[in-house]
Amino acid sequence: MKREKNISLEEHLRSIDSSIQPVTDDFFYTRLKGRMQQKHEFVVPFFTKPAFAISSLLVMLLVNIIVLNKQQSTDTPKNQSQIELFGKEYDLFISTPY
Amino acid sequence: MITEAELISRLQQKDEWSFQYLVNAHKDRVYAIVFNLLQDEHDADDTAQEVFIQVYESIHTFNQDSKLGTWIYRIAVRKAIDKLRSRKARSRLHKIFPWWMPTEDGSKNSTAFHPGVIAEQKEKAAALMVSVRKLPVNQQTAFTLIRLQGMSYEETASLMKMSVKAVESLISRAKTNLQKNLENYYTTHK
Repeated sequence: MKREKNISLEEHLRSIDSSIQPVTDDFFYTRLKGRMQQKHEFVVPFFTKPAFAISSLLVMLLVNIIVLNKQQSTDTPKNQSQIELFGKEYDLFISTPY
Repeated sequence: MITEAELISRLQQKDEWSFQYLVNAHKDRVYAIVFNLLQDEHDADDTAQEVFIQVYESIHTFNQDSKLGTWIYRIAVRKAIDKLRSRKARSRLHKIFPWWMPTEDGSKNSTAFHPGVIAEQKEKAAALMVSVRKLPVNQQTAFTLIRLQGMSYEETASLMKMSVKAVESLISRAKTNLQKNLENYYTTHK
């Protein structure tokens, strides 16, 4: 039985002894160059990536909204009183014949 | 005729002509190594390209402690082993989560079309290659390089970065496991 198994493995091993080596085709170098060029083309700076562009746009929008909100809230009587104080200091509210 | 030292120096300067010369000189052997290990035309072509891209990018690290060819074939063996390992890991994951992890079955029947295997031997060769694929990666690599690629034990040891004795031991264990795998194959394919 053991001998039969050994013969079987040897026969299987012999089945690949006649195999010739596979070769690649003549266009291998062309494909390789194409892939290398593609690889270099795709190495783009991080700031041109859509994810970066979209997130920086959102951050800018957020900053704008915050600044606008802040500006609206500072447009209050407190600000008005500062203007009045400034006007009084320089006599801007005194009416003159001129 | 360009010497190896001259070729290496030109490659380190990213000279395109030298790179094309190198690719044409080694492409068939690199392709044969990765094809014999991966048993899939598409994967072999893809991996062979990756080998040359790595050669181009890391030629400056080649310290000439071996021949340029040996260094390239070592990269080819390593890349093919990485692919084999990822395939096996994928297949293990597929067994656990079949709905989540697809298998890479491209190579399933490709052995039957291995070039040069004569028609009447194709069935036996296919059974053998199915059994080879079930071997642990190191045994599969040593067996393939010696039996399919026709390399010597010394050359295989150099490419796998191990001693000749270790390769002999791998081949011996590979044959024992192949015997078992073949018996299983014929039991399930009766």
